[in-house]
Amino acid sequence: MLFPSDFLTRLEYLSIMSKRVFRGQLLAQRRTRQTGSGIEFSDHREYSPGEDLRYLDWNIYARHGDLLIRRFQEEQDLHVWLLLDCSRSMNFANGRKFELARQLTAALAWIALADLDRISVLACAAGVVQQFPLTRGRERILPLMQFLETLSADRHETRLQESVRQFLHRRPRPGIAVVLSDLFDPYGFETGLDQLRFSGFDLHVIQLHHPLDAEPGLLGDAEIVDLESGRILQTTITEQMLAQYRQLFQQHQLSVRQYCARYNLGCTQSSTKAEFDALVMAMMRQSATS
Amino acid sequence: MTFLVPTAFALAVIAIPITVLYILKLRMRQVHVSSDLFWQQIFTARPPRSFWSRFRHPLSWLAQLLILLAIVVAAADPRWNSTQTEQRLVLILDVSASMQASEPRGQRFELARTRALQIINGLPASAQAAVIAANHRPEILCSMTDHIPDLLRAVTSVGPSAAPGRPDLAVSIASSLLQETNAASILLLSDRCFDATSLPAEPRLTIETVGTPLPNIGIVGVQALRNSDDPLSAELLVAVRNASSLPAEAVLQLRMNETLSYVERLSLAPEETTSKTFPRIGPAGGIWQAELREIRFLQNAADTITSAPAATAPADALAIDNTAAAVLPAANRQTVRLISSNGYFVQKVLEADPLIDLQVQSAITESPANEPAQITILHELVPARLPAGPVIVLDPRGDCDAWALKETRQNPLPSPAVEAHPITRNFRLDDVLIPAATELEFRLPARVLAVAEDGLPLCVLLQRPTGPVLVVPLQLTQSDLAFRTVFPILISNTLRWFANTTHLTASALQAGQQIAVPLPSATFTQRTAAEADIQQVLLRSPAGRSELIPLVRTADGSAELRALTGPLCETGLWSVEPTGTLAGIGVPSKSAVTIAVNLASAAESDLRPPGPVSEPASADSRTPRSGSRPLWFWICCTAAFLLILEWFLYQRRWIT
Repeated sequence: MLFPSDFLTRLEYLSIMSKRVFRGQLLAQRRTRQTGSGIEFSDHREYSPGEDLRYLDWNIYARHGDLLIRRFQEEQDLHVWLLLDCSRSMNFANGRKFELARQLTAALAWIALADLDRISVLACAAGVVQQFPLTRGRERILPLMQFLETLSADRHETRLQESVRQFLHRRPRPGIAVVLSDLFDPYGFETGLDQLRFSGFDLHVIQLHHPLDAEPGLLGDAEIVDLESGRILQTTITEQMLAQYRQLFQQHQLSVRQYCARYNLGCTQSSTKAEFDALVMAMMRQSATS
Repeated sequence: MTFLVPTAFALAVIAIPITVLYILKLRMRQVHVSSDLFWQQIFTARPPRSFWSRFRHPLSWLAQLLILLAIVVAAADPRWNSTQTEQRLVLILDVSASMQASEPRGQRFELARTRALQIINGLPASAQAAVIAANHRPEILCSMTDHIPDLLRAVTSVGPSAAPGRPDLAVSIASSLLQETNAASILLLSDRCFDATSLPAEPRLTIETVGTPLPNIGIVGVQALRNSDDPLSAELLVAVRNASSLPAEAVLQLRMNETLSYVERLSLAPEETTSKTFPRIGPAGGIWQAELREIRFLQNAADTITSAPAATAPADALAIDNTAAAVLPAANRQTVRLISSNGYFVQKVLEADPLIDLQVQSAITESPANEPAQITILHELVPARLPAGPVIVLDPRGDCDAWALKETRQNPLPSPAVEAHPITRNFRLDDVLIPAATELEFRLPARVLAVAEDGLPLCVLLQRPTGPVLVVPLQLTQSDLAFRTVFPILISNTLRWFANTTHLTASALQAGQQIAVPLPSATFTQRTAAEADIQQVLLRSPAGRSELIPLVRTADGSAELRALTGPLCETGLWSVEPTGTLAGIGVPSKSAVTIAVNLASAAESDLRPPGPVSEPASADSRTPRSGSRPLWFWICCTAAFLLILEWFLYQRRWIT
């Protein structure tokens, strides 16, 4: 069951934990840098003639005789974009990867909605195939969960670059972009992430893999069927090949970590053995300590 | 190269299913992966398999065919063609008792058998061979053949015997098999524990010694005897030999009917043979069993039997000669009726025998009809009809139903040769003065036991259905026979034979002998056997195996029956028992005859081959042999190697 009965309870716990421990560190607790007509004092600046005298700080003028204008931080809603990989590779081994990705999407969305941020979920494969539009308010979590339940991972292969291109073509307001994928992109994952990064998004990558992705456990004659392309490789797998596979997989995981570290991006890599709430907690700890 | 089993090449058809199965497209298992990104980097995908590309791993397929080929060739049993002329070999395997000796590498016989198998397996294809077991009676296990499996089977089927071997006879048989063939050889695999001088001069003979010199102590002789002058006393004679160059100690235990009777410690010098005599008083018979225990060879004089054995002290190598048995016959009392008017000396002789209850009559009287048959001795007096039962007639003076008197001959000269019979044991007449003897014309089947030089019978045994009759037609009153020791010996032998206590000529036999066992005549006669239509009796071995052996009837019409045994090649106590049908007509089971069989051979107990031990490599080059294993063995090794190779191919451990 994708969202069991205690799912919302666990989401609420995550929300409380995020406020107590990681306040100001994650998602909607952040503020924009724009100053404007907010109510929270930001700083002072010199008065220029013609400015609205309502913002003149008369107390300072009375004490020191300086004409200073009070500035306030303008509060804007934070936009959180959740890019969920719906390619066929996410459906590997009974779709456990896709199930965990959807649970994580729901959890992150709930935390954002609880902080009055706006969230949007984009189902991506070879492009953006479905979108849950921007929304805010905690009451929107149920429609979001219904949306996630309707999604299926049978959308061809992974093309993150094309998905990001289509996403940016809609001119989204910059905010936080969370990519949930296994990043098994035959065209490379770096280009898509680069585009998001260049567009001013605060990027966080969540890479999921199944244990069989790391350790196939195959020996002997076999037809290897690629879930995304349907391509078939007839071969005989030896221990030597398995060792090479393990090495290549670890290199791929390392390349993702190195990319994120290079550009100071959030990065979470996990096996599908983990539970979504434990994974979110780990993400929050990682953000708090970084 | 020739193949002994060419039909095995039919197995080559297995190559067809191997190839077909190889060509057939195997359905490969499908494995779904999230992405083949990494697999693509490891190898380049192969195109769909074409017909020829179905031989995906031709080396593996080739290895399988080579394995099959090797198996087929090995099954065909290939042999190298010899450039020499056809060779013939007679392999003589010593199976005598000494081959049971325990060598450090195993039993001597097993070593010889292993060597024989090696030789047979190494025979060239053109060679013929035969296998002979040098037993007490040599046996041709396999006649001349080039069929190796038969030769191997013959060697495998034979086992060591408990009897002394006769390699001389075996060599003679081998010579007969080879006749005048020049390209032939005789190979004797033996421990050489026999008299080498007895071997016939055979230039083609090669002796390959098996085994090493081993120390041994054994019982080389055992007999149980009753004293002829005192039948109530008996003695057991045991001879023990130390066949080693070391002093030795042992404990000799004697049991009479399973009851421990004597225990004696023996200290034997090197090469010493000691004889011990153990007396026994009483008429009862039984079975003596002697056993050597706690055998120790002393490395130095300070060792005693009570000290712990030295670690380096050799052990007794042969166990079969550590035990022996002998049968002591019972001395039963006999009732003898003497009818004589002038038989003073005869009466004194009979009275001197403590086992005889003597009744003396001076005239002939009719015996009551219901009186059981007893032994009757007639001296001079002869009734018209001889009484029933065993009868001894001394100096008959009248006719009867068994003979008629003819003339009286003066001064017959006794012949020193007497007929071999239990009655004539230790009996000689050549120094007896015989002034006169009566010639008789016998009306019954007669067996002359002693005769004069002119052919006059001096001691005759008559066989009749109602009992045997011994006739001594000497005029006893004129002869000095009654004063000679041979007379009581003759009377005693005759009475014992009548009582059937002399059923065996020896109390113990040597293993390998074949004898005709006299059966108890009191209860087991030709008449009882004929009534039951019995042709065979049961011979039971010490190990419990039983077989039927034939009865032997005497041609002279006597009541005596004998059972002819085969060679008794197992030591211990054998028994000849009546069959079930005989028991059914009243023959009691106690009528079984026990036979003690021992090794009792000084030559077999000496486990030291004379002279240096020859190694197989130094044996005569005329003997066709091969130091290596047969060809099929190496082919099988090749097949095993190919199998390992194919396994690696299957695992594709080296395919990149």
